[in-house]
Amino acid sequence: MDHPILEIDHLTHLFTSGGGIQNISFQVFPKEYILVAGPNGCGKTTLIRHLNGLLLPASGDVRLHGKPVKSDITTARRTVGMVFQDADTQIVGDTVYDEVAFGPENLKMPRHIIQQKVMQTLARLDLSLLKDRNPATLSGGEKRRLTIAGILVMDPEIIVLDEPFANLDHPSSISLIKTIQALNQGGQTIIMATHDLEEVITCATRMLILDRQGCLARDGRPGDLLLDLAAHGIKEPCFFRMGYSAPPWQA
Amino acid sequence: MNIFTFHCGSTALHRLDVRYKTALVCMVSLALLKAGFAGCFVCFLALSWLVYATGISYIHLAAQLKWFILLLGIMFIARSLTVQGTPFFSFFGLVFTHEGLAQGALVVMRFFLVMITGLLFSATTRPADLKSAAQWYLKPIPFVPEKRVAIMISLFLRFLPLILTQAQQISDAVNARCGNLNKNPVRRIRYLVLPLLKKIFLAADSLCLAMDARCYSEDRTDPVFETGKNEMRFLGAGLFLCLVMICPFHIFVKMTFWS
Amino acid sequence: MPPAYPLRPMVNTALFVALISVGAFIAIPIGPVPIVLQNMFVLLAGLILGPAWGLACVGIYLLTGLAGLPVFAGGTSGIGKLFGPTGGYLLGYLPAVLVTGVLSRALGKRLGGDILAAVAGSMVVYAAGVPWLKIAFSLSWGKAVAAGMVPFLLGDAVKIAAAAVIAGKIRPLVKL
Ligand SMILES: Nc1ncnc2c1ncn2[C@@H]1O[C@H](COP(=O)(O)OP(=O)(O)OP(=O)(O)O)[C@@H](O)[C@H]1O
Ligand SMILES: [Mg+2]
Repeated sequence: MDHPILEIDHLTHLFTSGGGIQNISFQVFPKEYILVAGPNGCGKTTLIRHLNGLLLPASGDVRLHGKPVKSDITTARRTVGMVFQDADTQIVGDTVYDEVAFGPENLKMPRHIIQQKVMQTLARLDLSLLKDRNPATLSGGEKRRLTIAGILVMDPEIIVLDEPFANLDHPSSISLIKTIQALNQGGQTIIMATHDLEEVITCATRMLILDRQGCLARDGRPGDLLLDLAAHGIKEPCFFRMGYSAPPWQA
Repeated sequence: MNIFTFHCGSTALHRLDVRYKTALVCMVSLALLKAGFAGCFVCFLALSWLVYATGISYIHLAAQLKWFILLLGIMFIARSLTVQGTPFFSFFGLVFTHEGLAQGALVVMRFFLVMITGLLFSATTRPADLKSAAQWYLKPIPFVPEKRVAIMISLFLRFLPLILTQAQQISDAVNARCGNLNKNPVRRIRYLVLPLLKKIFLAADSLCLAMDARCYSEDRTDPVFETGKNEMRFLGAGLFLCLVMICPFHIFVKMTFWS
Repeated sequence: MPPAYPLRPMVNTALFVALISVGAFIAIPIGPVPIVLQNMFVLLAGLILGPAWGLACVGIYLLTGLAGLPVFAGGTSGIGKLFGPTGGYLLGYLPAVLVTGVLSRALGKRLGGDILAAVAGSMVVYAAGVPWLKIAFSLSWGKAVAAGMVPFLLGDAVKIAAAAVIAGKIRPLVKL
């Protein structure tokens, strides 16, 4: 077995206002595609923000390659790329090109390498033609891809996506799923928080279910956890509710 | 408001290094403050040619400038009426003076040309390049953190469309509940601005997080500029143009005619 | 740990630069003349960001206009506008935001103090703009004040009141 990239060890972070996460432990191995599922407000976002040090644990530990995340935040942020829930408010640049170049510029990469990496990443996510556009004028799906490009360009070991399907229509969601799946098949580790499992559940290799108290209720293969979804307030995928057999598991 | 008047293209003006372009625009604008009629005419010819060469249609330009031209007309009339001097003609008791007409025409020409210069500039320059130029120009000035300024300009450009759409949505929402009938002006401003500020400060919050998550640092890669022979040519031509513009032609003209 | 940058105030300041630019285009019809919210956002920048970041905010606004972005009134820009006849009002924003920021802080960021600070700020704008206008158009003092100050006073009173109220409500939400 490979060494884990991330180890989350008895992680607890409770907010004074109530809510938060409690006593969560799991490990993330290379090439995994992990879904983090749970009802609204159960702490998915809170959990995810610990993975790159945007939040620091109240107790417990988050270790990246064996070292605590807080000991080297820059490395953690670069290794664990994060795409946030709201695409509109995470775009920093004023053109598509500049937006993707923002991360590498922060890492002070030489200009010619930035140029090469940005063009590669844009091509990979099908954004090359939009290079000079203002991000505000992009469609929802294009914005999503742009936010992914913005972190993919920094060569993260893990890409974390928080509710990537919020505000996307069905065709855009499907095409985004394909994009993410292609990344995963290319060896990229993916963690995705979502409460809409409909289309993604067949692509993922693993699923974590958080309960309303913010504890890790289940951790296993998505196909094995279908029966537990309803009990934890998560909508089951359509094929399951209708009693059809599952579409082919892709992972 | 349309700040993205940038037209894609690859003319020499588009490709011109933005640092030279800003310097040229400043030079021409300043020269215009001193230019006489002859100077303005030369400048007009030069700018018309540039507009033509950049492929901006004159009709489009005139349409964009129609209110500005109206304003210039009003300025011209006001000037010709208020400046004292020898009367030229009178109209319903209003006296237009020689000096007034001359001065008015000159001021209006200058304004017009400054405006065209600015339009030409914004039509051929990506806003993103501007911040690189700003960073470069600010570098030698002490106590000004130029990289921070460049990032802030970039964020500002990023916020503009967000604010415009939010403002529109909020004013629609207020009007839908007849907020526009409210007689108290302070309250009307409040109903528009308070939700706007609340919304965009929330957006600012998540933007901070996103920048943090992408390793924001001020010790970052500098922008690069592509400078070739063209820059020198443009600079030379611009300098020449400015010299011609501020050259006091009327002295020579007077000498030949009156000496 | 990476060095800590003042990220939050930077983002908030950039936000106010955008508000000031957009302010030239948000008009609220009150009485016969629509009032434009630009100088209100300058005052708000002083009240909310404080003197230092407020100054940075107006400085960057002027810089972007100077560099050629059409952010001055009527979608204009450039050095010709900044040093043109109405340039005094624009350059006056610099001391105005400073005065507003310093006074509001000194007076304890309360409604009354904010109103006073905003009034002082507005006066500073006129103190820069009117003499400039007078010289540029070689007007008499009387005419300069009549053309460059009197027509806007009523609108200003409204904006000052609104700015003070808004500042009180927004301050708790803004993390600096
Ligand atoms: N900064 C904070 N301060 C106080 N409470 C917070 C904070 N952030 C989150 N919470 C609370 O923690 C709980 C978990 O929030 P979180 O955003 O992690 O949930 P989530 O699973 O991501 O929900 P959603 O599906 O809506 O995105 C919520 O009850 C929320 O109110
Ligand atoms: Mg969430």
